[in-house]
Amino acid sequence: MTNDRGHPWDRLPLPEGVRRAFRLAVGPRRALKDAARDVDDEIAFHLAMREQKLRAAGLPPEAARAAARRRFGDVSRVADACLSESAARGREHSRAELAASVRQDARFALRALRRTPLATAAALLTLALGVGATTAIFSVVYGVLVRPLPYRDADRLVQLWEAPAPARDQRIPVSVPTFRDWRARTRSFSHTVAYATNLFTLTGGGTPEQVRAVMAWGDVAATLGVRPLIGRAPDRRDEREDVVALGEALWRRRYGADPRIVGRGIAMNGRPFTVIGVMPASFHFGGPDIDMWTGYAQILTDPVWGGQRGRRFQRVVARLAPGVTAAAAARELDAVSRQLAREYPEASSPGGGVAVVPLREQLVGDVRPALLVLFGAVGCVLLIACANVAHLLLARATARERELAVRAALGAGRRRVARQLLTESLVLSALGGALGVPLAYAGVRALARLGADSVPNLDAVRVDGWALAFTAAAVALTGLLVGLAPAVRAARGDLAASVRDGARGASQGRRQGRVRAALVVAEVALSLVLLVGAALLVRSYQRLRAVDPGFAPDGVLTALAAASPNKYREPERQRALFTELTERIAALPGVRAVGLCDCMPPDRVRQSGSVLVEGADRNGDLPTVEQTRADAGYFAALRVPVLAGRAFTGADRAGAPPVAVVNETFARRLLGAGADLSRALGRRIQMDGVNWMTVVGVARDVHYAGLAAPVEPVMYYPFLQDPFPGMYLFVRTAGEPARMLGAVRRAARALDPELPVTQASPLDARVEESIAAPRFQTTLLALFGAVALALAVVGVYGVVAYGVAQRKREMGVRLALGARRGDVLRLVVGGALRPVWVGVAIGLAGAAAGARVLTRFVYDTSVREPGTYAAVALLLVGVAALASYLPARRAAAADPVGALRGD
Amino acid sequence: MQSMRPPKSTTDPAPDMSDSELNVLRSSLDLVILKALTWGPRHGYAVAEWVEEATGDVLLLEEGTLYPALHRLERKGWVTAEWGVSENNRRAKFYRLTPDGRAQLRAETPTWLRHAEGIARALRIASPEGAGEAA
Repeated sequence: MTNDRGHPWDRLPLPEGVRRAFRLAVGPRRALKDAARDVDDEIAFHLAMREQKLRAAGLPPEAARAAARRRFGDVSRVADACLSESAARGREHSRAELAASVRQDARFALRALRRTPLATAAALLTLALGVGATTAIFSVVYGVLVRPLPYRDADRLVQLWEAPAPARDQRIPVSVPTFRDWRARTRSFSHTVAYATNLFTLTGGGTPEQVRAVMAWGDVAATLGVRPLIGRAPDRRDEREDVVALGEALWRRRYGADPRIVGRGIAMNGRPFTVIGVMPASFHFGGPDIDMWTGYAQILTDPVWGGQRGRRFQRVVARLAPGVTAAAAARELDAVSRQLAREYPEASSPGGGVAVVPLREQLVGDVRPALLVLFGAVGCVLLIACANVAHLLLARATARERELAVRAALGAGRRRVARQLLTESLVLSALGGALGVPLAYAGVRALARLGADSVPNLDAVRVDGWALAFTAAAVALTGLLVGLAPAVRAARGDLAASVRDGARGASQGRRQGRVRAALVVAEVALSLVLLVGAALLVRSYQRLRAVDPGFAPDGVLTALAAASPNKYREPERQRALFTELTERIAALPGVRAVGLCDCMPPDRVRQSGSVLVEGADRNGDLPTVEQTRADAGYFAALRVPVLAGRAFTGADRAGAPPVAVVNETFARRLLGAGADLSRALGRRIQMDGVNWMTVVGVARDVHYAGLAAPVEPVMYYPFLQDPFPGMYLFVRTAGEPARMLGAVRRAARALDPELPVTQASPLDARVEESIAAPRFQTTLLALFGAVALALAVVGVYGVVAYGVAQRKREMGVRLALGARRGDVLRLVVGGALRPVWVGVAIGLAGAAAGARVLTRFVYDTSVREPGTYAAVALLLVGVAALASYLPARRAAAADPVGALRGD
Repeated sequence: MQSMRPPKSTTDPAPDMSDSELNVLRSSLDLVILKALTWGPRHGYAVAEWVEEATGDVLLLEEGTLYPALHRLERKGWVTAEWGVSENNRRAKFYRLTPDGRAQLRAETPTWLRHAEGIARALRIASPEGAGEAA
């Protein structure tokens, strides 16, 4: 190699010490050549010495040389061996060198970061928040929306519904005969399961227990692609068999994980069932809290449920046959459904029509928009975080331009300087990311707690490693890009100018100023969007919280007492049971009132149906109202005021004249009561087309369809006149309602050891639960808004503080020339607010455009409320003004002479 | 390093054996070199002279073997090398014992002595047939 392409540094006649001091490594090629020459020299020296010694001993020169070589051995082999040793040493050495210099860089970076503790802390906090929050939300989005369902080839699973042509987005369950025809006439599905959920009372071997079961018709294991823990899952053989596959949790809890459970009989609702298998704990087919999966005998042996085409109650899950798309399956099924509509016009929706919905869509469709909004919000937070880190690093790099220039002048190569800057960015990102990890974990835990009631599968969500890596990389990349800017300048040779001009490189300062202003604009705009969204949700949530549920929820224990319909078949027995039960509970110390209802405010009512109002036009469409049975104590226990007439009494029993209590809305809308509710009293209504019921009271409106929904007409009818075996208990207590549960259970057990009291919960907790989803979204968005605001404030403060430092001399001149401090203050703050105004303008436009996505999440709130927008904009500007006021005051307070003298 | 390995024929019945032999030779040579440097920095030729004299030409069959060993010791950090001027005013590479090298020598010497003495004692015991005795 004649052409020495080594680094120019190699050719400089520098002493080794200097080279080492400035860590100027020689190139590898060059090093190898040096080593070869050294080895040759060393061997030559040895041979010469030996030859000299042999000649001194009297050998002639030729012989001495030959003898020396003989004693030495193969010269080239020795040289090779030496060289390979020294090459290995060189490699080890440069590796060690590199490790040492990386360590040194990192140490140096840490020292540099420690020198500016405030900026570093701000950057670290920013990074930690950005990485933590984004990772937590991303993990949830991934876990809920993206992660495959726990079924084999889950993307081949679809849910089938009837969807009548006039309302295609309706999802109507399927009747038994319809499903039978679907299965017989389609080829698009390799397996199908129709199912319905049911509550069973499990008796024998322990306390009676209410269990949730899925009754399944079809091959469960083959359809879903799951494997039972032991035994098998229900399949086509079990159409008419009382068999059951237990869930793992129930199997462990109640049967001590007995491995020989298969084949055993258990009693449910007084019927014997045979256990055929146990399903793993990860199996949640039919709902998150299903305890077991039974055969379909209960349905198919029942002439009503199993035979009527109009009884639409089954859900259907199907596996698409190989090669069939969901669209093709939908076309085939749609054709079948139209055919059926022609064959059975009286029992079908006009024209037929179906919906084939991917199973995941079915399970998470409701939460997808909410999660995506949160994802977008947290993305904004991450962007703001990146902008902030860019700020901080830019400020640092500018402050250190001179230092870097000096280092370069002293002989640190540009690669070395660049590496230093990169190392600093990476150290910062690594530290921030590391701080973000526990934050992400805490975030996922908090999300799981916060959203457990409103987001499916949330308990299974884990911090996603990829999400963590992704966000950390995003932030690190920002750091790198920003950190590289001065390094690139260094490479272009501007460094000399930097040394001359100090930190006041004029044009560069201006360019940086523009970059920083752009960053402020972006931060302000993004946080404004976030804050407007958060403010809208908070306002809506406040209004939701302020909704009067129509009853007093505190101090009330609720629970379901579900008597076995087989054991309490006769209405008389049902009446006796609940009369006795409420009397016993009312006698418990600390109980103030007891009521029964088959409804559960604020979001559950048993049924809605048509009513006929006496005197109204019989031929028009009958109005639909919510119908629920309540006992005499219900209104008192919930403190629902009866505004006119009376509540039920014990006298409203079987055989007595049928009566009803209606709510205000019913009285006004359907009975024309207007302002005088008593005008509704004495009117007669029919809910079954046979018996007239007299309205004896008007109760205050109670929410039964959720706090957000408007109250619909409701009619109550007396439990005693139309009893039912499963009723909710409402127990108003003097103290903590949850403490009363034990006594209530004991009372129930004393009455009937097989009467389960389940789903116990204080009523106020149920009210809270009913607004869990808006609370989840609101809390998170408010949190993100707060974080965004904090980050934006830090950003604005940083920019202004930097600008003030840059213009110290100018301030000094102004003050020296007689400007008043107030003028200087105004100048600085005004200048600082310019990009903020721009950001606000852009942000307002963005928020107005983006708020549409919130429409479906807000209650009684317009996403265009100008007040909210104005308030948020003012808040941002005010906070930004404050953030710029502090450094501006420092500038105005500066001693003009000192500012002029100082560099 | 590879060049030091004796050529292996395909019929070599026990290649591992020759490796371990090589290791024994190598580490014994290393130890003797370290010993040679306890008297202060020496260039390779001086080390060779001392080793030949001290071992009676047993260890160094070819003087060239010494140099890969010296480089190996340098790589291990037991010796350092520096170019200097020899007693007859020629440029020569001088090796100096490092503290690590000294520690290595101190640690290995008793082991070697014990082994060597043990082996020597064992080999001196007269065999019944009188065969296999060292010459």
